[in-house]
Parts: sequence; structure tokens; C-alpha cells
Amino acid sequence: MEINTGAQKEDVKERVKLIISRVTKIPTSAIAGEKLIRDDLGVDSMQSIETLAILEKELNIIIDPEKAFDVATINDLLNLVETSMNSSRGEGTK
Amino acid sequence: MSVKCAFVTGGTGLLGINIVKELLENSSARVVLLIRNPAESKRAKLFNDILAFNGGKWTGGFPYNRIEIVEGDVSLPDLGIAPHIRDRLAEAVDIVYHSAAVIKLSGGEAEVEAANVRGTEHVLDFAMRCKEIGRLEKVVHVSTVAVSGNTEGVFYEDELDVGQEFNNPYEKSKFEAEKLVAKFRKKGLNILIVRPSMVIGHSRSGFTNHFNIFYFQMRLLSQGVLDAIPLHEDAVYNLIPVDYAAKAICLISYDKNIRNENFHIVSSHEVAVKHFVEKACEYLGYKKPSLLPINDLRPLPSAAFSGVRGKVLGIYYPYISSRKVLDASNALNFLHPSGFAWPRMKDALLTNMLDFCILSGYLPMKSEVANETRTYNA
Repeated sequence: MEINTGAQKEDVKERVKLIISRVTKIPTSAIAGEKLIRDDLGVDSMQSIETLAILEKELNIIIDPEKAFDVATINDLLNLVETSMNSSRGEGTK
Repeated sequence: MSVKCAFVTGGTGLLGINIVKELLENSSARVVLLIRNPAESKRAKLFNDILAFNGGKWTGGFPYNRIEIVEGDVSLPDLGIAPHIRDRLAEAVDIVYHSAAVIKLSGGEAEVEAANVRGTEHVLDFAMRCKEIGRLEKVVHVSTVAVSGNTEGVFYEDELDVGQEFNNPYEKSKFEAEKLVAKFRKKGLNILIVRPSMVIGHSRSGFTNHFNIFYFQMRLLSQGVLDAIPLHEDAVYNLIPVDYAAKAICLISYDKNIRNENFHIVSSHEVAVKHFVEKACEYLGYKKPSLLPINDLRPLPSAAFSGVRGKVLGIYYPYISSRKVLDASNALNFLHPSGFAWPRMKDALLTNMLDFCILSGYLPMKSEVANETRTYNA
């Protein structure tokens, strides 16, 4: 999947929000980019791990767990997913 | 010993709340709970949870008048209790149950150290004050069998430092806390150490107020994110229903002749992890993961398991690959004469836990998983 166009980025963003909503039961409308995942949305560490694991499985990517520690906002998470998608794609074509 | 006033830390946690229930039910003690945020909503939840663990009713009416809630935090000196309240309590308390702890199997080293090591020191400082100006008889320090770290072979109740290494900061913090206990024993405190294994919900209702490791594994399976689990063929879970665990701890704590001893609160009946995972997936209608046999204790092969899912499996791996045997002779010597026996780990007991997970919305049934998968693959 190429994710460099705006429309495709939007598609990934929507999927990420849907998965967060599925894990946490928070409405997707409340999951805005600048929100702090833990402090604003109240997502606990177990829910974060579960979300990341589902993202890996459903988007067929590998997320670096060390980088996942640095994720604070929804935008950070979207950037991490995007980077992971590009790097997983790169590894797949080696 | 006839408990008159018990001071409990961690009284809103899974085990702590059941110790409180046990004290209210089977003693005439006044129970003082140290709580970080005693807002009205938290109090209401606490009372509701105690009732729920008791099957939703209380013979003779719920004993609100025997519970005192004190605002404080174990990670603070003097437990963060106002001096005049601290001194009033120090005169009255005759037993301390210290069950507050932060359980994190990955990261959070500073938080874990502050709560589990410094927290224990602050509780024991408070206990010394109780002994000096009041009538304290003993402290019950709730530890964990995980202080045994990566030990192989038999780990005995009177052992602590056997040269083990630790799988995570949590295990090390509980080990360090026990070393502090040894220091305070030398200062004259009578401290019992109880080391539970993996605590699960109520044996009959399955009710739990905390979904720990045992449950999280099922949650990941419900989402279909674990395709494979590395598993030693002899791996077992030592699961203890919380009502039995609290009962065992309280029975031991009531014995007035015990001084400075350690007890493994572990079931006499283990359950094979393989059997449990397969039965649970069958019961809930989930796809069974491949159970990859690992016949020695090599580290988890990193090439096969990478990313966040690999990290999660790496965290779990020590708990499903260990070959240690937890000797519980001392605990059983005290418990058997009182008629206490651990329940057999029949499938019905495990399905009680799963039924509660479904009822509470923590785990979906197969049909719900299928619906969600369709939604996100569309």
C-alpha cells in the first residue's frame, strides 16, 4: 500500500482511529490528532499495547517497540504507523 | 489473634479488596483503608466491589460503620497521612496488611521502585510507630512468588536471595522490598511475608475488578493478534482464585504463634497452559494459536517474533517457560489443619472466569469478533 498521498494518509488515519475506538470504546469523534493518548483519552498501558498489536496484525506491519515508548499523542502514533508501513514495505522489497 | 483494628494498603486492588472483605466477614475488626483518591465515587465503587465479591449481598447489612477510609499514598513519607490522623491510627492499629503495589512487567522502573520499594519502607516505618506508641502485633507483607526471578528447581519459602536474576523491574522491586522486611524484622517488627502466585477472579462468580496478565493473554487472543505462542510443553499456570487467596492469607495472619515466617500462597493444583489456551479458545470460539514447543530454556528466538507482538510474547515468555517448583510446605502446614484446601482447577472454574469476562465486556464472543473483523476489513 502506497501511503504518500493525502487521501491514503486519511484512510490510514481513519483505520487507526477505528482500532483505538474498538479497544478503548472511545468514540472516534473524540480521537483527535493533538490529544494525549494517556492523559487526555485515558488509555492505559494494556490498551496501548493491544492497539499497537492490532495495528501490526491488520496493517501487516512491524512496529519498533522502543519507538512505541515515545508515542504521546494520536499524531505521534499516526507518524509511527506511517514510518512502520514504509519500512515494512522497504524490507519486503529487498 | 483477635484483630481489633486492621490497617490495609492496596485495599482497592484485587487481592487487597478481598482481604478487606474477609476481615469484615470473619472478624469483628475495624478496617482502615489507605486510599490515594478517596472521592465519593471511588468510595461507592469500593463498597460495590466488596459487595460484588460477596455475591451481591451481605447478611445483616453491609458494615459501613466498620470501615474508615484515610487519604494517603505509600510512595510518600509517613504515607502522606496528616500527623494527627497518623498518630491516632498508630495507637489503634494491631495489624497491618500491606498489599499496595504497582505491577508492571515492562518499563516504569521509577514508578515501580517508588511504590514497591520506598512504599514498603514507608509502610514499615509507620508500623514501627504503631509498635512504639500503640499495640501493633504484626505486619502482613504481600509479596509475590516472582521474587524467585529466573530460579530453576525448587524455591523454598524461607529463601530469598539464591543468586537469581530478574525478568523485569517489578520482580526486582518486590525482591528489594523483602530485603527491607528483613531489616525491619531485626528492628523488632513481627512481619509475615505471603507470596501469592497468579491471582484470578472469584472462584464461583468469576468476578474481578482487575484484569491482569492471565486475562490480557485472552484479550489478545480475542483480537486474533497472536498467531503463535512459544510454549514449553510442561508449562503450567499456578492460578489462585482471589477468594481462596485472601482466605489463606487471613487464616495465616490470625495465628498468634507465627513470627517472622514466609508463606507461598500457591495452589496445590496447577493447570497446563496448553490445556487452558485450547479450552478457552474452544469455549469462546476463538481461533487457536499455534503452540510452538520449546524444549529448553533458550531465549525467545527474536527472528521469529518481532515488533510489539514479539515484545509482548517476550514479556510473557518467562511465565510460561519456567521449570521452578514453588515449595509451599509451611503454608500448607498452617492451612490444612484449619480445613483449608485449594480448589481443583477444573474446566468449570476456568469457564467461570471467562463467563465474567464476557458479561463485563472484557472479552467478546466469537460472533462479535467476526463482526468487528468484517468492519475493519471492509
